[in-house]
Amino acid sequence: MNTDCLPPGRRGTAFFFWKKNAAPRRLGGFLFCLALFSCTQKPPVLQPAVYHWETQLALSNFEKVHLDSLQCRYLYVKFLDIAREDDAIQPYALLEVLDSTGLDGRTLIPCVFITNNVFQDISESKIDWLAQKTAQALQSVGGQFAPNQFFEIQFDCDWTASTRAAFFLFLKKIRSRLPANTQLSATIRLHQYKFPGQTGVPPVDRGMLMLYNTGDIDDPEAENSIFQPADAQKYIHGAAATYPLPLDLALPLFSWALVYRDGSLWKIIPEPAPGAFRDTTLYTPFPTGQDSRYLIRQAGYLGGQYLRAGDYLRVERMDTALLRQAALQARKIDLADDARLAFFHLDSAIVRRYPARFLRELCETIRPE
Amino acid sequence: MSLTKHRGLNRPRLLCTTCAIVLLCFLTPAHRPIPTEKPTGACDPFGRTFAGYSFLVPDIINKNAAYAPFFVKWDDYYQKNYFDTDLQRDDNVQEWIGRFCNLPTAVDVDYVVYRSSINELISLREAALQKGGESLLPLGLTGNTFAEVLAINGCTEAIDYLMFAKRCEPHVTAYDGWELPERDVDFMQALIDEGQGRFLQTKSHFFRQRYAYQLVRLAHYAGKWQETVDLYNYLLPKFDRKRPSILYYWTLGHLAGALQKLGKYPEAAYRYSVIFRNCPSKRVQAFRSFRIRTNQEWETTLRLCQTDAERATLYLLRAASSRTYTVEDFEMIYRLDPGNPQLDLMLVSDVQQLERVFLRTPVTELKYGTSSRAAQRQEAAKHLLSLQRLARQIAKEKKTPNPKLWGAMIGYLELLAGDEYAAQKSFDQARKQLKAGNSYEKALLHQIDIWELLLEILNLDGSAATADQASFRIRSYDLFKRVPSFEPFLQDFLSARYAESKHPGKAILAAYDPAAITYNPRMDVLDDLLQLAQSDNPILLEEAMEIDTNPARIMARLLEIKGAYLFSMGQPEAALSVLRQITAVEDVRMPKFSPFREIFDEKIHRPITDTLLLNRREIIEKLLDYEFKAKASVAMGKPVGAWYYYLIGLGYYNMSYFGYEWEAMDYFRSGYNWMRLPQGPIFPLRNSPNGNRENIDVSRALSYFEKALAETQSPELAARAAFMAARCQQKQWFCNPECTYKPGSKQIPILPELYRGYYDRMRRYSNTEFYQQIVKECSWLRAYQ
Repeated sequence: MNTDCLPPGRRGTAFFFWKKNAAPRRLGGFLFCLALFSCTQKPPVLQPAVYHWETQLALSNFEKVHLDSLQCRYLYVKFLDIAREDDAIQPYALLEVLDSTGLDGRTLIPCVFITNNVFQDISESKIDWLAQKTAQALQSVGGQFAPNQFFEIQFDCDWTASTRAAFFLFLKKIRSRLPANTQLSATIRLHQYKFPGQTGVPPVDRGMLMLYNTGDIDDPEAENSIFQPADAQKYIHGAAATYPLPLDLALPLFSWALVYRDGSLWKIIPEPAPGAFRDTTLYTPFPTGQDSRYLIRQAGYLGGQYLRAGDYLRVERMDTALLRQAALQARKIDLADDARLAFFHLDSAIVRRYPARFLRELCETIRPE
Repeated sequence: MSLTKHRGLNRPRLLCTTCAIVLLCFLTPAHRPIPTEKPTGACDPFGRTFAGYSFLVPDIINKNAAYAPFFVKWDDYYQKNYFDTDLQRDDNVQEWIGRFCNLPTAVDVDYVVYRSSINELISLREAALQKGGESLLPLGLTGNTFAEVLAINGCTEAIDYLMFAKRCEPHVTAYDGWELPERDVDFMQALIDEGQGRFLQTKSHFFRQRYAYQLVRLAHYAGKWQETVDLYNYLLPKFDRKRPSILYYWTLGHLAGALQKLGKYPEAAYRYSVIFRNCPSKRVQAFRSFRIRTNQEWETTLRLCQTDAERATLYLLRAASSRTYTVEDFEMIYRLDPGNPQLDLMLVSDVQQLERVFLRTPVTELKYGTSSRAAQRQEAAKHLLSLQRLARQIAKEKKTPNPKLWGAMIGYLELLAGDEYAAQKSFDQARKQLKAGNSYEKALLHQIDIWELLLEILNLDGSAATADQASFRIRSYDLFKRVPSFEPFLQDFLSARYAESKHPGKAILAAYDPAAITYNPRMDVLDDLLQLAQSDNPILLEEAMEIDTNPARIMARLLEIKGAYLFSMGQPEAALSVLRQITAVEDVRMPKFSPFREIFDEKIHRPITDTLLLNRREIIEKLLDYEFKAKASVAMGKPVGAWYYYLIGLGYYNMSYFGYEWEAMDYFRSGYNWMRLPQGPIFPLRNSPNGNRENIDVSRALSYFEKALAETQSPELAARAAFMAARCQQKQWFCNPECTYKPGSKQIPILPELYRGYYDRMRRYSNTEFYQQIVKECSWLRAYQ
């Protein structure tokens, strides 16, 4: 068919539902049928899921009860991290299962976090090696569970233009090393979601869209880098109506304190206690009146880090109002029919802040029953 | 398909050879990398790293100083020479050699201790039992000096230990990390029990210490934290530790690990600091394991220290976890242990950080992004002042091992603080104290040479005409060529100075490829360069453009860029007067275009065959002529007026970003910008100080098509004009922030009513020949009908 009016880059490609001389009326009929179909086959509600991102697995009683109340069937469990340090690609923090009670009846999805620099300047043979070692690690960690067959494995890597090819090749190679029928999924950052043409689409079966990390963590002036509705909107608005992969969605529940030294990000302190900054002899709210930014007045340790006088600290949290807004915005995202809504992440202190009922409400907000 | 198009790549056939060479020199990738685009937003997929400029040479500190790898960075020096070497194994082999009176060679000890098999050790033991039985050595140990020493001297105690260690090894070696370790804890316990018996039966304190190490290590790897502590406390007092041994620190490392697991962080941290201070082979592990969580733990750890030197090590470890050190860190360590050689390393490391802040210019920020914010610079400035004060004090008191380094550094700190006069004085003073005969002082003198050359660059005056020549002279120095930071720093610095002294053109040429002036041309830049081209001394222009001295040609290129820019900004008359300044000789070399053809597809680089080839000047003359004719014809009631309007619209459309003759108004077009049209017309572009401007505004073309439509009586011409107007509106919609259509999508873009008027109007002309033809060619038109 003649596609001369197509913009550059698409020449020679046919529209997928257009045929030469197809009458517009035929399109109308098709759309009508589609609309009818979508009216009768409403996708089911979102399945709640939770990420477990610790190095040891032993669910506390509170966590078990919380998962039950949430009717959480899916548990994404980080099995290991892979990073490159001093030019050596190494595994870190292989999951140790201390207690497997509370896992029965839940579907476990192993996750592997791989830092982007692993795929920088990497040869094909090294990718092959990495796929083999990763499969070996998955098998070793998976051996702590019974049964140790997993229907899906997720890879979390913030790939960039320079690492895309290597990461995608890795995904292809590891697929061949995993048991047949194992589905692969990959986390999708918001910019990857908005610009699939530029960033590429990973060769996996599903994507987990991470509706967070919308801001610039390195910017001391940023509002809340975990999630800002206006920032999220920039990525959602203008994105293609459909992403090339069936999408699940991840929402953040975590909090952290970002420490800026000499004007740039120095350390991240995860989950600071809510009352940690009450002592005004140590921390001055900065600027006065705001309770999320502090100037360190006196040097001392916090969360295992030695802070100096003059360091600047920004506490970022997701409150329920922000989560509700995120859920409302997520309505515009074309999620898979069998999509899961995964909360990041499972931790007694975190889940205490968000009752199961509230999290279920978020599922319903995104896709009402 | 490449996303970027460049004139030099697409149209060489239109140019004469000479002109092509000039253009190639001037604009094509042969002399510069094709710029790459950076999408906007928080994420930059092309993560760039720029460590900053540094004018410190490694020789001014002892690179092999024990703590150096933790404080300073010299590219990958320490990676290769420190972290990648197995210090532990080397040190252990040396201790074995010392124990045996330096008789065996290192290679042979290494083989017996680390690589021999259990069978070889059994045979070795048999040989040792028959004193002088070196002739009974197994084949693998024949000629091994260490095995011979053991056999000749009947050292069965040593061999028994080695055999025991060999049995322990599989249980205590670190696994490769890709699998969970599978430790046989019962067997490990049995080995511990057996080892305790062997320990008590062993007479040699050398081997008792080694047994103790094996047992403590076994308990640690078995995850028996309390037993590790108990074994340590039980075994360590039972052998003589007067002779220093690395084994003590290795054992201490396992004790510290167990204590940390038991939650005794201060006790563990103190021991790690002792290991860090005294044991190079375990320094990396100690550094990584050192952990203090609270102020209380810090105080407790300090109380565990027995000497000021130990306390100073704690402060060092705490300081080393930060990028920069406070002057309080320095002062505390200096007060506790003024002779601590690590103060030199901290100083150099700290100055490395200060260089990153104070050797950045506005051009550096433009090129590599803003790394230092105002707040950061403010903090760094305060720190710099405090460090200057401390450096003066330390240099004066001369209590550190290397006060001359501190003396020389005073000058460099002054230079970083912007006090160039004081810096020169300090350098002169430091020079007087140094002797060229001493190799270290020679290194310091070399360092001062480098700083003085940097000072010379900093003294360049961007407003003076001599700056260009001075910079070329500086570039010719050997010293300049030997320090990698000089060239990029000189570029940035000169560029910033030119910009400050109102020479924006020179500023760009100093720091960027000359093609940068074409990406988003600026009038002030072009005028500055034109002025420079007319000056008596266009050396910078000639050198930067890397072409032979030919002022007329350089002038023509600049006029052409200026003319094209004015033309693209909708000022054809102004553009024409600029282009008419090009000499006749150069005018014939100008590239030619054919913008008045009816091309209805979206290709932007189709080969053109046309008899009507015009250079930019001629195109503008033609457009103005058409405009005159159009107006005259309309006034006279002649129908041909509409046709002229149509041709003008066609020309403007074809010369826009969306047309095949985009090059007539632009020098660089990026296909990537299709994806982000609403962000335009200026798009981010790496290696370009002002981004890349694309001619995406088609409103002028649209206005001429509308005039043609208004004036024409011919349905055929009306159909043509309406179709082109529809294309203009469609492109305008693509540039609208509300547009969600993505080029490359398989979907038909839905045009809002405001933007589809001319597509709707096309129905009126469905009986025309043009319509019948175009509807077959254009899928979108079909969809909209």
